[in-house]
Amino acid sequence: MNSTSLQTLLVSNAQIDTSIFQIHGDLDGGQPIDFDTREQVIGVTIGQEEFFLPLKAIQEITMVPAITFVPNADPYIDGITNLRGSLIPVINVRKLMGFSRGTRSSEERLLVLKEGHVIFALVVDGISDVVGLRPNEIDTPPSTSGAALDFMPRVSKQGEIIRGILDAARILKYVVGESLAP
Amino acid sequence: MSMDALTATAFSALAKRDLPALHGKLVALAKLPPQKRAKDPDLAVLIDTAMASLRALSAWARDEIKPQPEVVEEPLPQATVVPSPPAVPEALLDDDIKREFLANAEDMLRQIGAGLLELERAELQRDTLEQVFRAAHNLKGAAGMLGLQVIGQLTHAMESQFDRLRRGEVLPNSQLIDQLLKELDQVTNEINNLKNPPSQVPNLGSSKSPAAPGETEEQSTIRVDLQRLDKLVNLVGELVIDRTRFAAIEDDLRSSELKSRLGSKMSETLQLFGRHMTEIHDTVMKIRMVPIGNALTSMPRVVRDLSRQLGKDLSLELAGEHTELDKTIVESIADPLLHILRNACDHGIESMPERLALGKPVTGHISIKAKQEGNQIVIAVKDDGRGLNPDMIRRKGIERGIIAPDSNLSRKDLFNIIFESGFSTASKVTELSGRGVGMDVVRRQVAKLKGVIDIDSEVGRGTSIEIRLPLTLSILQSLLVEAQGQVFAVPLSSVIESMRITPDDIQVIGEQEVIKWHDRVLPLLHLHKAMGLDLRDEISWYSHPSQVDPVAKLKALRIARRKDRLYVVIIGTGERRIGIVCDQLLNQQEMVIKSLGPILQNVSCVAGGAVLGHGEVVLVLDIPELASTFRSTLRRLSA
Repeated sequence: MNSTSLQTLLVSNAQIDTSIFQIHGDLDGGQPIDFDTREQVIGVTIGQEEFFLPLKAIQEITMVPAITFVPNADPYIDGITNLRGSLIPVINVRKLMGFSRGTRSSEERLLVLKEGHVIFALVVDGISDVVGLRPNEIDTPPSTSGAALDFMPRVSKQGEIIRGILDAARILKYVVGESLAP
Repeated sequence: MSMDALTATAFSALAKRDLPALHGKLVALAKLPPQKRAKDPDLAVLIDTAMASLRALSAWARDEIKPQPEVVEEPLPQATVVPSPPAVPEALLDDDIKREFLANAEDMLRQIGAGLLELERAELQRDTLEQVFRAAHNLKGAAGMLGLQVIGQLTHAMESQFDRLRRGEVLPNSQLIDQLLKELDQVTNEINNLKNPPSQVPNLGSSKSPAAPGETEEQSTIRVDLQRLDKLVNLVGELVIDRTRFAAIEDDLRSSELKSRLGSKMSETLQLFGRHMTEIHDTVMKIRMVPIGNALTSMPRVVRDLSRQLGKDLSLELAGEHTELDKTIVESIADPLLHILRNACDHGIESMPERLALGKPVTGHISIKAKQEGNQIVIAVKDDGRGLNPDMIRRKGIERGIIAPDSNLSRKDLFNIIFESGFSTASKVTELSGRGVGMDVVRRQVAKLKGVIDIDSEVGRGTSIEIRLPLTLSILQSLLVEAQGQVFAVPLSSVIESMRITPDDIQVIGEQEVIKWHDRVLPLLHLHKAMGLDLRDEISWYSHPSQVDPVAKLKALRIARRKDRLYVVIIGTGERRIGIVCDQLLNQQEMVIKSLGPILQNVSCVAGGAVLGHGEVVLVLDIPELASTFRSTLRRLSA
């Protein structure tokens, strides 16, 4: 697990890209990888489950900072936090996906995402490796219903484990749409 | 004819706007033997004022009838420029206004020029057409206001052409565009002349001497992208916050024995830094400031049009146009002001016969005055019309279910009802106002700008509406208060007073807690209840600073021990006062208020957030919203 090296600051997308290269270089012992056809995702733990989140949407990953409670906001909003002078709303994905409340731990991370012009942050229970997914390793989920599935238009079937790939745009659409409703 | 009969016919002539007849009657009245007039001195005065007004009126009427060098019959007429008096009565033009006008004018000319070329290239571009039309219109308005007749006429002609294009009466062809471009050049020339007045004898109308480009005097203004400026403002705001952090470090250093010398050095530097900081801050904030006159430019025109449309004689007085405030505020206050102005013209000022009968001057007078008072701008709109009738407002308010039939409201509270939604006293709906959507929108807009609106009126004497706005939106003086361990910021502009009470001071009427304050009954609102802090632990467990921070934990303990003390912050919106109960008053601080972003924009009672010295976020309370939510609960309780 190389997650500690990712704890802080992947600042811009450009920087993210370079840091991924480095990490991969290490992990794969210098084997050449065709990055063009692979989609970079990072493993995140939410509750007991592991998901992927495309790196493209992630601005940076930090420890969970002090979060200010916002009254009268939706229940899955943990509050608002200060990221170098900008106010960023913090969404608790666990609550958003209807998981149980769980406990706090030192493994928790704040993922800062940017979708369009909106910057928001997710609290997840932990992060793991950055992985490259080949197109043939990505599939659509079974068409059973479930609130959580709305946020996962795709699943990964890489290796033995099937993992949902979270979609930042869908999360944002859900969150903004709901708070914009009268 | 007897005097009474004469008066009566004079009125009927006035009502019919039959000026010659009215004139005749008034002259006849004026010629009545003095002893007869002396019997009724009021009438004598009345006649005299009527005569004066009539003279003014007929002058005005002549102006109206005078053929204007307007547009425009078919085959592409040349917009004629009447070589009228010198382009500008220079003395009339204040330098600031002139500079402002020139800066705007150049921008608009560029817009028109670019738009024209685009029109020539592409087919019919609706957006472009709208844009050039608006630019021409604005330019005309501004020129008219400054008395720049030549530019006014030229742009008027252009505007009419654009209007016809817009309505599809003519199609753009190169010939037409050529002509419009030529006219544009003329306007540009005029404006250049204005910028560098030719040294010769006052220049007549359409001058052929174009100001040589490149020879212009040093440019005194520069147009800056607003986004860049905003970024600068934000950064300076950050610096202000950083300074408070330094101050915290300085405090630590000075209080530690070993480092106290370092501490005093630091505080020296910090002081210097603070001074420069404040200066930079002020300067940067001033960049965003524009004179409020920008929002008032269209007003004289509106009043003129309305006076024609309503058949009333109206005069508008503007004062304090130079008062500066934030550009965004100026832009968003124009519409509310326009609405108030229209209301004043339409409902406030009586019709001419009514005014005559009341012995008031025929000309209805409206004034818009702006002035700075401390950190606020006060804009007062006054008319000398019929005023608001409290009884009628009460009746309407009860009818519309806005107030309870037995409610006992003060005069001012009663007037403020007109800002409630769904309230309109005008029984007649006119094209201009009176659809019941109006004053409430005005108030909402003012509240959005963190301002307060207040109204006062006297029957028969007129109405005055006062709007108080902060100079700038982004920096806010606020009072930090704490409730159940969470800090909130209350904008200082709405704080009237704060005081310490004990729980025993609180009395209960029905279900409402109140205290006695300066001989009035003050309803209380508990901040932790209003903000749902009781639910906080269930909803979010990240936000509890007391769990993490030992200092905060200690503080919480201290507060728990002192439960016998509560603090009340008395806030006021308009005449209403509400006491907000909280656990602790922390301090006063300047802060940079930021939006919470689209995800949290609809959270009620929160106006935004701000970052404190230690990097934590506090929420800024939206006091008007808090107060109105509170009021509606009150009403529900009392119903």
